[in-house]
Amino acid sequence: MDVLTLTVFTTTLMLLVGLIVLVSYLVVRKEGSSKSGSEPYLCGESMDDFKAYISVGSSNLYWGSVSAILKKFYEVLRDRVHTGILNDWLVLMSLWFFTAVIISFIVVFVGG
Amino acid sequence: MVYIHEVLLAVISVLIYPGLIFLIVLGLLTQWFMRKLVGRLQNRIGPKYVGPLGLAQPFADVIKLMFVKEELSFKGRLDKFLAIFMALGLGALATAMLFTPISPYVVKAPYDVIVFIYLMFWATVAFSLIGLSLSNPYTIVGSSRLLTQILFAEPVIVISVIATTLVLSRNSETPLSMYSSIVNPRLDMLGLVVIVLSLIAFLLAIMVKAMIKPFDIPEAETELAGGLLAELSGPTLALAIILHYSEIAFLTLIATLLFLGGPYPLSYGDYLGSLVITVKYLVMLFIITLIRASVGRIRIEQAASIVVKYMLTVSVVALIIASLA
Repeated sequence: MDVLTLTVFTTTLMLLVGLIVLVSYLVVRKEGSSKSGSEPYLCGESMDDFKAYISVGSSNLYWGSVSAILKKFYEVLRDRVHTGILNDWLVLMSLWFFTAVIISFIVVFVGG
Repeated sequence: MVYIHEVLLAVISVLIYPGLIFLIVLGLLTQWFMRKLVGRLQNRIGPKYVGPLGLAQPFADVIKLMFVKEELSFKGRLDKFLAIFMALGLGALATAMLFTPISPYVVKAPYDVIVFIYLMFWATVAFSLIGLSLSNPYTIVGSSRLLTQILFAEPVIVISVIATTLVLSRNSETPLSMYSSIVNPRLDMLGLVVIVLSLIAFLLAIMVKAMIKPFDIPEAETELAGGLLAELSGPTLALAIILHYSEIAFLTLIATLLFLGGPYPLSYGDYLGSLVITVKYLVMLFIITLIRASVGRIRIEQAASIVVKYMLTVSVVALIIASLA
């Protein structure tokens, strides 16, 4: 078996097991589910326009935590690299380009 | 050419042993062990009433949630969406068990470790999608925290698994294969160093991935009221509990088979081999539970700092040694 066949085979098995679990969940749930308390509430008050309340600011989602953790890295990126000045952008891109060239040189001539 | 009896054996393996049913039972027994041990370590009794030593308590909890407790549903909640992803997570874990030699039907190929890692990733993705499919600030914040945790922990898992398979399946006919790494490990002194380093990184990364204290930041009972699981009830909560503990059991079992040599010094055909695997599995679980019972929850950036400083560095060092060896 090669990796591609293996991926297709295992994914099929995964879907099969998933389907069986899902069907048994739906069968069990049909008896037990209830619509009581179907109104969402926050702090004891019902929310009519609930979508206005439930959304957490995008800064809290994923990038918020990442930028909190990588704060210094983020500051460098924002204040020094992403200044909006075209010259800075050119310097950054040239640096990336030369780094990529050097890495490919190493890969081709030293490693290969 | 695939024969019908092979497909049948694969389906039976993935559904019963060591697939779905086995993982669920192992997961719930793992839950009992962890709860009992944490209870004893904290001067409590732990599960007691159902079954001998409370052994059937996790089963009773899940059965009660499934058949007795009602499920509360509300506007803006994507019930089926989260159930689909949790089912797929369980399916992925059950399928990934076919890569281990304890399965009657084994799948193997050169570089199959990539497929294994892809399957291993599903359960955690399913968990992070729980929060996003419920319209509640707590669950969404829990989800974003889990996504951040995965961002740091997943590279550790991937690197330590690749470093270990790289060392163990060297000179093998199927390079970077899970099966040949587990069954025919080629081990030398340098390989041993790689495995020890990878094991340390992997063991701690299990705790981050499976949200075990001090990394239970996405759940955060006292802060986020259960975070990801805050809005779940009835059968959905049962499914989430099963998925959570199946994932812990799966990762611990993989650590036992891959890093600790499975039934070593015995072999897989040996009758007492399964006993050795069980003992090693319990030792791993004991270490995880001991850490869980000893420390409190930390903040997300502290967790990220610990992962990068101690786990990522260790696993990268292991990978460098593995590629040089």
